[in-house]
Formats: sequence, structure tokens, C-alpha cells
Amino acid sequence: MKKKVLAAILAATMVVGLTACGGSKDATTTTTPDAATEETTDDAAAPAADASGMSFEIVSKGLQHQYWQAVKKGVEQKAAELGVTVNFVGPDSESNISQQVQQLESALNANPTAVGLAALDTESVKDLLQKAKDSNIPVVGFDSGVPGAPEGSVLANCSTDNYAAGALAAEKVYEAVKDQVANATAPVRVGVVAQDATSESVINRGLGFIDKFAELAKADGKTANVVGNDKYIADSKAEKTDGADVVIDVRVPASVTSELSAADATALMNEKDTIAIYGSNEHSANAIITANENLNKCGVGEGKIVAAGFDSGAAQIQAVKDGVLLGSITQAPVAMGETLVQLLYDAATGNTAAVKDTDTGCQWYTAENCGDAEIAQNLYE
Amino acid sequence: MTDKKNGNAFTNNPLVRAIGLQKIVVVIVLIALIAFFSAVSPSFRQYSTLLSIMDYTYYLAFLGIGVTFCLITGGVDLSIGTGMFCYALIGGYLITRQGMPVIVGILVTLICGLIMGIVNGLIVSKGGHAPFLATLCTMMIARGLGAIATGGASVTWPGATAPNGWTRSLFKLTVGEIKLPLGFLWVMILAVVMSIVLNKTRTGRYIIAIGSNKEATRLSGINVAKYQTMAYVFSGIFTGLAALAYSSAFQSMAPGGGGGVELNAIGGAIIGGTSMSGGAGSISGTILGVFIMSVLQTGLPLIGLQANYQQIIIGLVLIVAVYIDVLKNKKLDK
Amino acid sequence: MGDVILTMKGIDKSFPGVHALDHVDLEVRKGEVHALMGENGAGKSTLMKVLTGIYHKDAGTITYEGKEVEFTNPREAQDAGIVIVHQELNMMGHLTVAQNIFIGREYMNGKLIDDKKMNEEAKKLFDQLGINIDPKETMSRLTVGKQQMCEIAKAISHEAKVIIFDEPSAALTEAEIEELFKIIRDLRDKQMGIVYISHRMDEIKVITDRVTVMRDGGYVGTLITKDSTKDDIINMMVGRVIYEDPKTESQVAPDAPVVLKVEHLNAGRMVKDVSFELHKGEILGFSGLMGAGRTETARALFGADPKDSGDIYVNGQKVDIKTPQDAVKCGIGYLSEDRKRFGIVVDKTVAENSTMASMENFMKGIFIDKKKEKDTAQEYVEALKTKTPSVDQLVVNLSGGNQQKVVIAKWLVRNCDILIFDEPTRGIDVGAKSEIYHLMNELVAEGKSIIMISSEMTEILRMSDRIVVMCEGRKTGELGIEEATQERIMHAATLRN
Repeated sequence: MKKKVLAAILAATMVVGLTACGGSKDATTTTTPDAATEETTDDAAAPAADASGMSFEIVSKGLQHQYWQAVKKGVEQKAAELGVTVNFVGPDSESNISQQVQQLESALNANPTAVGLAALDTESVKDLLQKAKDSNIPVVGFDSGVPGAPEGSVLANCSTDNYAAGALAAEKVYEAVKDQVANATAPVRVGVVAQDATSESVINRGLGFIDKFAELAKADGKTANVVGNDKYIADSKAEKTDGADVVIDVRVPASVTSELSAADATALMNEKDTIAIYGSNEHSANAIITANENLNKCGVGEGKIVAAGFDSGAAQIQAVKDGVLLGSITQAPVAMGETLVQLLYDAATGNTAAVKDTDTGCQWYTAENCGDAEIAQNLYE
Repeated sequence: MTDKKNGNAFTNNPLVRAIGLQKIVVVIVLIALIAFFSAVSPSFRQYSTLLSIMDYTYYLAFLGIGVTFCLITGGVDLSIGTGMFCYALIGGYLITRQGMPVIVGILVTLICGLIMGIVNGLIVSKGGHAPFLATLCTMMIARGLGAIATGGASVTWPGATAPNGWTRSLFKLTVGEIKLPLGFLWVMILAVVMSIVLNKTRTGRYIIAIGSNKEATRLSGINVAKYQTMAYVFSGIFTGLAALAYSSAFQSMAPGGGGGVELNAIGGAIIGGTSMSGGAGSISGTILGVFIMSVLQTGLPLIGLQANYQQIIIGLVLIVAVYIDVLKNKKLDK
Repeated sequence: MGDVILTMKGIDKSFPGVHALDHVDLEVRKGEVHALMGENGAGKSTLMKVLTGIYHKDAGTITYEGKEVEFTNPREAQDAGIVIVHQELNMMGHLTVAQNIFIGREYMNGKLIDDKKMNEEAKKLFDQLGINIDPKETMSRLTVGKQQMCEIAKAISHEAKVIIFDEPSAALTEAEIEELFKIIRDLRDKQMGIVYISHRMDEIKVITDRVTVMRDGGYVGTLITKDSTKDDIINMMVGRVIYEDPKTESQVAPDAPVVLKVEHLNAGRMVKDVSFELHKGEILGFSGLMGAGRTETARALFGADPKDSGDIYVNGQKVDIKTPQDAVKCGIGYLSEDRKRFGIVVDKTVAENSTMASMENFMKGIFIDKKKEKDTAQEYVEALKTKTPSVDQLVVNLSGGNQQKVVIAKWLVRNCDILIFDEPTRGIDVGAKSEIYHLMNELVAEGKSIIMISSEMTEILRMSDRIVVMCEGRKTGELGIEEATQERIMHAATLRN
């Protein structure tokens, strides 16, 4: 009796939860049971030239951040246009590698026409990639793709060149602090708030920024050094000099939570010699914004800290508009989603020539240009 | 043989006994920590650091106050960490995605906490489940529900400058150029209220009695299930308040998060002298203990310590606090 | 003695498989102390639980103050004026004395509890009882005796007309018992009806006016205390005669080797420079008042509490005992005075408890050899005459005496040659007591050696071959059984510095 009551309460709570999110899901999975059974019975005989029988499994790195929701939007738009069925999944958190492996496994077991994958950890999906290859299921990487995947297991990647995107941020930030760097009598500090030191895309955005900033400083006759997180220090190609004019300080929290990253940002902005700070994804940019609410130091000018972000989201867009952030880099997640589905379609239809690595691009947006249609479509709240 | 079993002139001093030895030690440690951080890091001495410490204190204090009641019954509530995220996600989702009025979001956040508290309380008191297991399960359920409710997307509560961002002023009020940690006032008021509830009302008295000797409490004709449930209801409501405080300080949260936060709050309560084995505990102690946690969380990054070392130090502090609890219980047994 | 205040007539109660009460009668008058006696399992507690509404009777009537009543829970009984002072103290150690006394019916000042008023009222109660306890003191800081006084004060504060004392003296010192008796006599003079449950025959003679005896769930009879002898009562309880004659000479061979030698043992405040020897086949009694340090000595010896200094020799070999495991390896077994907390695992079976200390002998690879375990347990159930339906019975369902036998079996299975019995018959009824005594005698006859800690003088004099007396942590006397008398032991037990 008690158990029944309990079950009822839980079920009711679940229903409330599900209804609340129901709206966004309708567009995704529209596969009818018939289509699914046909798929499993006769797919091996002849690859379906008819798009209506095609089903793509897409395993992303998460669904949490609005970024992934924008990718999903692009995927759904293109899928609707091509008339294919798409199932878009991702783990609960971007550190849940085992869950992603399971999702990829079930994706392959569903025997799809093709698979899109943004791997959290290449090593742990290697076996499954081999399995996909053995069962002739084409795999296309997206976002950070599947770096270091075995030869031939991933046909192509469509992604932002994260390293180049980070470098773009460095150029813009350097431009704003160029004089300060040039006129400084004591070393100056540039902070980098990174979400982690494990994800390839996050690392590349950080390294792109670090390397470019060091390079620009060097071009102006200054020396640079990288301190903080060991992984970034080791991987950075920048020339490192002790007692350098420009110190690039990289902080990574022990786990991905807002309060820990905010503490990192606060610590960096509290350093007396900090002139600029960069957050390499939405999470880290939000951390800078949170820290600034107490410190009120972000901005351009004497005694201020030039701040830059990456990706968008309501808080970040507002901060760019308010001038808290000088600007931010946006990828083109909608375009990425569309390109992904196109590549999967090409791969499935045997249009091999079209299946090749694609940069889906990035843009620097500021208070001035964020209203432009070209940029606005890639910004999401 | 005397009644005063052990202790010396200092520990038997009426004033020391009234305040509690552990609280005195905690205050000394807190002062020592602040002195240490101030000496090592000049930036720790700024006003903005106080604001940061407060950001960490609010939500931990609310979680701590609530969970103190559960700990005093001899139970625990592990669902407060992921629960806090879950309720903030649901509330924030309604405001930012569904365009509902902010007040609705706030109420839903609090009601979610209340419901979870009732569910936890009933599972423990009527279902007879061990509190650790029961709330471990609801901890996972909260994690899942938060993700489902928002469709797996992260949620950002309205910013301070946004038109509906007034919730943030509840905790951090901007007057001209100065930001005031208004939330501290709420924490203090609620701490005093809950302290009175714990020490001066029947509910509180019976919650202590249950933690001290459940069977004896039952034999005294007290409805044990009711008051045990009440402890979890307090914990749930305060988790809802913590959700508001967290979203106000840190704005955005991702589904699947919040795991581990409960340990910081429980740790704060234990540092403040609340016993894991029930019967003993105080709200004032919890608030002090929570301050130790928030000063550590703010101070350690400021002295340039890398993240993973910070975790180790906080872990060590908790081990010491739990060890003191074990020692106290040993003494009580003798 | 005044009018009848409470009559229980033909009370019948069955649990599945057990006829716990078989038409039991009990009559309590105003201003009398009425002893309720019987072996464990005789149904005394069940009868009291029926009275106070914890159990519901199947048949019979309860008449209280002239009206037939049936309470559905202890609270109702309390409100009507029938309260129990429990054997196991029902105290909330973290609350104050006054908070404990008024739990469940606090004085309120609006929505808030009026602690000040409660302290005043508690003080009044204590004054009335002539005892000196600070109502604001935390309960756990009081001695057991004082805690018991608080229980009594709590009972009286309910405006009780009938108070049931369930083995109130079990954990009290002599002085505390005297104080307790004084209070009980006061209550009697105030025309309360008092039911007194105890196993201590001496107390029954001293404090009670009438005795009702129960046996096996049935009513045996009621006697006027001053007109009956101890033997009358015991015979009614067990249906057989029990001799309580002191042992007159040591049963140990003069040349028996020393199996255990303790030299200058110090541990904490309660064990100061204690030395003694234990011979093969000997029962060495440890006598003394409560708090003399006997249990502490045993625990330090057994490695359960840390030692500060001192040497221990087993069979002439010096041993280093730091933990109970070390002690067990040396062949020492310890039967705790608090069986429920330290001796047995109540929700495990007889078989599991029997083999618990020697698991390694009952393994088949990594699995427990259940059959061997049961066979061995069965062997000891038979040898010790443990009353249990089977070795698969949960220990919680056995009586105190039989639980004690399971503990003994545990150490015998472990092959311990030195057994420390700490209050071996506490809470055990007379019949089971003599069985335990018989068993101990058999054990030493087989060459085991026993240290017996006991607070009961008759037990010490009846069982020991030699007696060590302690007072305040020091050994204050050692007597051969031939020279031991109550007076000599008491003299040594009060030899304070």
C-alpha cells in the first residue's frame, strides 16, 4: 500500500517533468513503428536510396548547454528538409564518458543508416568505431569530432576549428590591451578560465588563445610565460620565459560547477596585475560574469580588465551588450547541425566525394554587431 | 563519584558549556583562517571578497540549516545537492523558457523542495528506509528529474541587469556604486527563527528527542513518524531556498550537477558540532561551520592553490571534523 | 494497605505459537508494594504491557479505580495514572533532566516551550522526593542511579496512582538502592499502588508487602511477604527447590598450574596497579561495589580498552594483548555484562552466534560451511541445555538465560580455556541461574578456568574458589573461599584510600 502511494507520487512528479519539456521534443523522433521494423528486416539487402527509410543516430557530448540545443536545431531543420529520421542523444554531463559509450552502443545496435559522433573520449569508443566499420555503418564526427580515431573509421569531421577560434579571441583581446602591454613597466597577467583539461575542443580554444596571445606579444618585443594548469602549460606551443612581461594564467576547476569556476575567475581578477581574462566556453564566460558582479572590474580602460567569452547564452549576450565582455566568439552550431546531416546523407547515399572535413566557422561578436542577422542566427539564449 | 564525568575547569565553566566547546574552537579556527588568508593574499582583504564569501555562504547555509534537522534525528539528507540544482533548473526553466512571471518560478522552486522533503520524510518515517539509502535514491531521482524537466539544457536565471532580474537583488542589493550582501540578513533571520524552532518549540524538542533515543520518544507517546518527517520537510524547504540563493549568486546551472554540494553542507554542520549519530546539534554551529567552508572555498583559489589541491584540503578538514564527532561520541559512551 | 485500586482478572494473551498469558490475576491495593515475580518468560513483562496498552488482551478484565478500562497505548494509561519505570532507562541523553521529565507534555508559553517553568516544576518534584538533582543538567551527565530517580520523578509528575518498577535496582549501587527504597516507601505512604518486578529475593523481603508469582504464563499465587520465606517464593516460581549454600572449600587442586598472571595492570582511572593469578580449573570471583573497576580490569585485560602499563602472562608466556583478537588468540573469552550490546547479535540465529568467534574453522573455501556450523551449534545446544526450538532460531527470541548460554557456546566453540564471566546471571531468573552455575562448575571440572565478576554476594560465595576484592580501581583484598565471609568481603570492598 505504502509502496503504491510512493510509486504514484513519483510517477506524478515524472509526468509533470515530462510535460514541461514535451514541446521541444516533438520534432525529433517521428519514426513510425513500421519504418523501424522495415529498417531492421531489409536494410542489408540494398542501401535505401529513398530518404524516407533513412535513420541517423547522432551522439553528442551533451544536451545541457544551449550550444547543443542549437546544433540539435540545425540537425532537425536539415533532417526535415531531407526527410530523414534522426535520433539526437547525449550524456547527462560532459564528464559522463561511460554513459556516452552506452549511448553509442545502443545507437549502433539500432542499426542506423549512419552515425554522427562528438566523442568525449576517443579511447573509450575505439572498439565501437571498429564495430561500426565492420557493420558498414558510416560515422561522421562533429563539433570536437573523434580526434585520433583509427584510420578509416570516421569518414569526415564537421567542426569549428577551435584552435583558430581561440586565436581570433586572442587577436581581439590583444588589440584592446596592446598599449597596456607595450607601456607596462611590470609584468602583466592574462587570465584564462577553462572548464576542463580533458575535452579536445575546450583545450584547443584555450591553446589557440594562449599561443596567439604569446605570439602577438613576442611580435611587439615582449616575452611571455604560461602558468597554472599543467596540461595547458605542457601543450602550449608558446615560447615560455621565466619572469616574462606577459604571464598567461590558466585555471581549471576540480569539477565542472558554476561555483568552482566563479571562484577561479574571482581569484584571477583579484590579481593586481591582471589586464585581461578569457573564458573558453559558455560555462567559463558565465563564471567571469558572476565574478565581475562582486568585483566590478570588467571593461576597457585604466584599472579595468578586458574580458572575452566564447559561445553565447542569455547571460553572455547580455554581458556583451552591457560592455562587461568586450566581445565573444560564436561558433555556428546551427550550420554545424545542418552540415552534419548533409554529410551523413552524402555518406549514406554513396556520394563519397562530398564527404570531407568541413570547418563550420566562427565569428567575433560585440555589442555593435550582435544584432546582425548573420550573427544573430548563431546566438542562442 | 561525581556527576560531572570528566573535563577540566575550562570545559566545565558554565559559559563554555552554554556556548559549547566546539563552537568556541570553530570561531577560533575561523578567525585564524581569515587572518591567514588576509596575510597571504592582499586581495582577500577587499570588500569584494566578502561578497564572494557571502555568495558561497548563502546556499550552503540554507542547505546546512535544513540538513541539521535531519542529522539531529540521527538521519541524513543526501538529496539536497542535486535537489538544489533540480529545483533551480525547474524554476529557471519556467521563467526563461516558458516566460512565466519570476514569482511563479520562485514559488515552484520552493514547492519542489517542499514536495521532495515530504517524499523523503515519508520514505524514511513510514517506509522505514535507512535515511542514507532513501535520500541517496532521491538524490539520483532529483538529478534525473532536473535534466528531464529542462530537456537536458542548462538554465540561466535572469541576470542582474535584466528586467526580471530582481531576484538577485534579494541577495545582493546594489545601492549606487555599493553592493550590499543583503542575503546575509535573510540567512541570519532564518537561522534565528530555526534556532528557536529547534530549541523552543515542540517540533524541535521532539526532533532532538528522536535523535537521542527514538524508542524512548515513542514510549513517551510522541508521534515519531510525524516529527521525523518534519525534519526532512525542513530540509526540503531550505533546499528550495538554497536553490534561489545559488541561482542568484551563480546564475546558471547544468542538469546533472549539484552532486557533492550536499557534502559541503553536511560537512559545515558537522564542523559546527552537529553529530552524525543524532541528538546533538545547533543552527548557530552549522552557520559557523558553513562559514569555514565558504571561507576555504573563496580563500584557497585566492592564494593561488590549484583546484585539485583545494579539494584535498577541504576533504582533510572534513575528516578532522568527523573525527572530533567520533571522539565526542566515545566520550559519551563511557 | 488501603482499598483495591487495580484488578486484573483472567487476563489471556496469545502470540502466534505462544500462549503468553494464561488467565492471570493481579490485584494491587493503595499503599502497598506488590512484588511480581517469576522466571524470565513467565509473562511478567507481557502482563505489564497488556496493562499499559502496548499489547491488547485476548480475554479478561482490567478494573481500575472501580471502572473497567482498556488502554490502547501507553499514553492513555499514563494519563489515567498508570506509569512504568522501565528496566532499560528510557532517557533522551542529549536533553536536560527537566526536558526529559516533561517530554510530550511540555509547559507552553504560546507557541514556545517554557523551559523556565519546567525547571521549576522539576525542582518541586525533586524536593518532594527529597533528592538533589539539577533540572538543567544534561541527562547523559548523570549517573545511572540519578537517571533512575529522574524516571521516578517523571512517573510521579504524571500524577500516577499506580507505578510499576521493572527491575529498578539492576544497575544501582547499594547506596542508590537505599535511596530508591526510601522513595518507594514514601510513595507507599502517599497511598500509591506500587508493582515491583525484581529477581533479587533479598529486596523482595525488604521492600514488598505482597508477592504475586507467575510461572510459564500462568498465575501461581499471591503471598503476604512477611508471612512467607524465601524458599516458599522460590518454590512457587520454579516448582523445585534450589539450594543457595556457599561453597566451603576450594575445588582447585593445590598444585594446579597458573594459567593467567596479571602484574601491575594500569588502565585509565578505573584500573590501578592490579595484580592477580588464575589457576587451572579455578573460579576466581571478582567482588566489589559498583564502579570498583572490575569490568574495566576485565576489558583492559581482554584488550577491549587500552592499557597504560602492566604485564600479562598466559600459561607462563608473556603476551602482548592490544585488541580483543589478540586475547582470543591467547584463548581468553569475555562474556560481557551487557549481552545485547557486546555479547550476541540478536538478529542472527543461534548457530551463527555460536560460531561467530571462530569463523575460520567453519569455512569451505570462501563459503561458510552451514552444515558444520549447525552441527556444532546443535552439539553445544545439547551440552549446555539451551532451550531453543532449533539452532536456526533467532537469538532475539530466546530468554536471557538462554542467550547467555549461546554466548558461552560461542567461546567454547572458540576453544577458549580462560573465560571471563562479567555478571553472568544479571537479568536471568532463578531457574536459569542455577543452570548457569552448574555449567560453570562443569567447565572448571573439565579444566577451563574462570574469572567471574559479580555484584551479588551470594553468587560470589557460592561459586568462587578464591575471591579478589576491588575498590576504586585498586585490588583491596584476596580471600580463599575458606576464609571468605560477607563481612570480610564488604570490609575489603569499602577500603578506600
